Amino acid sequence: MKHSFIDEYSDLDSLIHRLDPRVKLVTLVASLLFIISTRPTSFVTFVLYGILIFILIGLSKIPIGFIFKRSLVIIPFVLIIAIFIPFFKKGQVAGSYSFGSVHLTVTYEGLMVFWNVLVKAYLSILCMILLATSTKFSNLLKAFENMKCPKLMTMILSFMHRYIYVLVDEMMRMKRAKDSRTVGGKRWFHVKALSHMVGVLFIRAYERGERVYLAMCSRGFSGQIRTLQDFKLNKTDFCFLLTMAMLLIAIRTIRR
Amino acid sequence: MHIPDGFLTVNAWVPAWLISIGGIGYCLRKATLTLKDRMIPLMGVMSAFVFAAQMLNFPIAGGTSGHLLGGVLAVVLLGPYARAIVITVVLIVQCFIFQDGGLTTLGANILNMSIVGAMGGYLIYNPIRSVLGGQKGIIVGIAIAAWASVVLASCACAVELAISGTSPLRVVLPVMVVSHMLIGIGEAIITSFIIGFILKVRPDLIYKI
Amino acid sequence: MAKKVIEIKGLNYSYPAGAEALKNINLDIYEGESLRIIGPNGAGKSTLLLHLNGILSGNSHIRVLDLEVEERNLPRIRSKVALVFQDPDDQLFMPTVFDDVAFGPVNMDLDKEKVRHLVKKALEAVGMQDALNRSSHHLSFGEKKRISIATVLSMEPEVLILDEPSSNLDPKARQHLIDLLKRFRLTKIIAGHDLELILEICDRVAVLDGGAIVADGDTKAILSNKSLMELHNLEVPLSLKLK
Repeated sequence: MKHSFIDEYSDLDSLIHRLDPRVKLVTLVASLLFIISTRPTSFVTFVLYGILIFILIGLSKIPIGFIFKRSLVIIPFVLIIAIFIPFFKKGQVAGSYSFGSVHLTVTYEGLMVFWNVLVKAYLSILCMILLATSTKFSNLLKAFENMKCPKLMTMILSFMHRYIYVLVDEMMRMKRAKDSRTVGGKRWFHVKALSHMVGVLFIRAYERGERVYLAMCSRGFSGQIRTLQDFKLNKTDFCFLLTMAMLLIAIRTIRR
Repeated sequence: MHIPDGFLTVNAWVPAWLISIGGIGYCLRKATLTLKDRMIPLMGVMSAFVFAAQMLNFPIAGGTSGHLLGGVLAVVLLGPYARAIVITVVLIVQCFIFQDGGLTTLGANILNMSIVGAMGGYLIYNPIRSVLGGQKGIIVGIAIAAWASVVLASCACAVELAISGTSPLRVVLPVMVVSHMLIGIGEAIITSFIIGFILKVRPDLIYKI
Repeated sequence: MAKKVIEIKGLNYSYPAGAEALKNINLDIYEGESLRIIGPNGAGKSTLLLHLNGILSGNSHIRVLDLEVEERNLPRIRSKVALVFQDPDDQLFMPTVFDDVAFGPVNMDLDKEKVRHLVKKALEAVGMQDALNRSSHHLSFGEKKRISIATVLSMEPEVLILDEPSSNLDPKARQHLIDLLKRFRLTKIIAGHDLELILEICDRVAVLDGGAIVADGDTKAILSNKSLMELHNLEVPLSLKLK
C-alpha cells in the first residue's frame, strides 16, 4: 500500500505543527462544538468559520489542494447518509419530480436540514483533516493519555497503528499472489478465495500478536507499558488557545 | 454507516458517548481478566487485522463490490468483550486518521457498531451454536448473527438520526434497515466462509465460551 | 577457561500440541564466545533461543550468569540476556524509534536522563543516531534490523542472542551488519543459515537437527566436514571449499 500519504505532512515545521497536541485537541473539540451548534440559518457564521479554518490551514503550510482532495474522498460517505433527507421532510413543497412511477417531493424544510448537516459535516471534516495531517498519531495518543484516557486504550491504539502498515502490506502481497494465479473463474470462486485469504491473514496476525508479546517480555515487559513523555505548554500554545477561544466566540456572537 | 459530525444533536450524541464509555470500560475490564498481559499486543494486532480485512474488496452482483465489516467475525474469534474493544479501536483510528465518521458522533458510532453489533451478534450466535451444535452450529450461527448484527447496527443508527430530528423514524428506519438487510447477506456469506476456513486449519483459534 | 555464562543441562521441550521440539540439550557457553547455532529449517533453533531468557521453559536445568532460570530471576536475566527476534516487525512495536529503543531501559526502572543516554549510545553503536524521532513503519528493512539490535543494546546486556540476523538483507546491509557484530565484545549467540557470516564472526558452531545437538566445536572443523554438513541439509561454505 502507498501509505506514506497518511503522515506525509506531519513533519513540516509550522506554527500549527509546533503546537502542543493537547492544545490542538482541545481547540478541535471546541471548534466542532461551536460549528455543530450553530443555527442552520446563520449563513454568515458558517462562512466565517470556514474562513477561520482556511487561515489555520494556511498557517500549517499544508497544501490546500491536499486537504481538499482528502475531504472529497469522504464526501460520498456523508452523502450516502444525507441524500434522502430533503425528500422526506413534511413542509412547504419546493419541487416535485417523477422518475417513472416514483414521485419525489422536495420540501424547503427538508432542504434546510440537508444544508444544515452537510455544511456542519464538511467544516468538521476540514478541522479533523487539519489535525490529522499536522499531528503525528503517536503524539496524539500521548495527548489522549495526558488527558486521562485509559493507558490500556491508548496502548492498544498505538499497537494497532503500528501494525496497520505491516498487515495491510501482508494482505496486498497475498492479493497480488492470488491475482497473478487467477484467470477468469466464477465470482463465487473469487469470494471464496478472498475469504480464505482473510482467514490466513487472521492466523498470521494472531501469531504475530503472540510473537510481539514474547518480544516485549524479552525486553522486561511486565504488564505495564511505560513511556517517557514530556509535553510542555509554552507561550505560543497559550496565545493560540486564547486567540482561538476569542475568535470562536466572536464569530458566534456576530449574528444571533 | 459512520455518522459524520453535524448529523446528530446534543440529545443524541451526548447520551451515546456516555453509554459507549461505560460499555467499553466494562469490556476492557472483562477482557483484561482473560487476556492479562497479552491484552495490549494482541488487541492491537487484531484491530489492525480487522482494519486490513475491511480494505479488501469482494465482488458483488454486477460490477459493484463491497467490503467486510468484520463484526461477528471478531466475536467468534475473540469473544464479545475483546471484540467490542477491537471494533472501537478501529473506529477511533478511522475517525482520527481517515476522518471516516465524526468526533462528536464517535460515541454513537461506537454504540452502533461496537456495542449493539457485538452484543447483538453474540446473543444470536451463541444460542444457535449450542442448539445446533458442532461445526454446522457454528457456521449457521455465524451467518445469522453476522446478518443480524449489521441490521441491528443500522436500526440503532436510524433511531439516533430520528432523535436528532435529521429524519423522521418512519422514513429513516425502513430505508436504513432494508438497505442493510441486503448488505448483511454479503457479510453473512463472507463471514461464514472465513470461519469455515479457520475451522479447517486452526480450529483452536475459535473463541471458546 | 573463561567464566561460564550459560549452562544448559538435559533440556527437553515439547510444544503444547505435543510435538517434541528439543531433546536432551546440553550446552555450555563461555564469556566472550561467539557461538553459532546452525541446522535445517524446523530443527528447533528458535525454540532453543527462547529458553535462554526464560520465555519458554522445558523441564531442565538452565543457569544464566549464575542465576537459575525461574520466575523470580526473570527480570534480571532478561536485562542481561538480550534476544533479538528474526522479524524486525515483531521486535519494533512502539510508534517511534526512540520509544522502541527506550522500552527496555524504561522497564529496568532507570531514571529519565540515564534512559536518554543509553538510547543515544545504542543508536550510535548501530549507526542510526539520526533516526531518533522517526516512525518504525517508515524505516527500510536494513534500518529496521539495525534498530532491532539497538533496542537490546540499550539495556547494556552481557549476552546478545540473534535469530537469523542476516535473513532478507541486501549484500551491503548484510556486510554492514557483519562489521557491526564484529565490533561488539559481548558474548554472542547467533542462529541461522548464513554460513559465510559464521566464518567471519563465530569461533564455535553447534549443529542442531531434529531437536538435538549433533555436533559442537570449532567453526572451521565443523563447517568443512562435508558428510556432516550434507547429512543435516547444510553445505560447506564456498570459501572453505576453495581452500
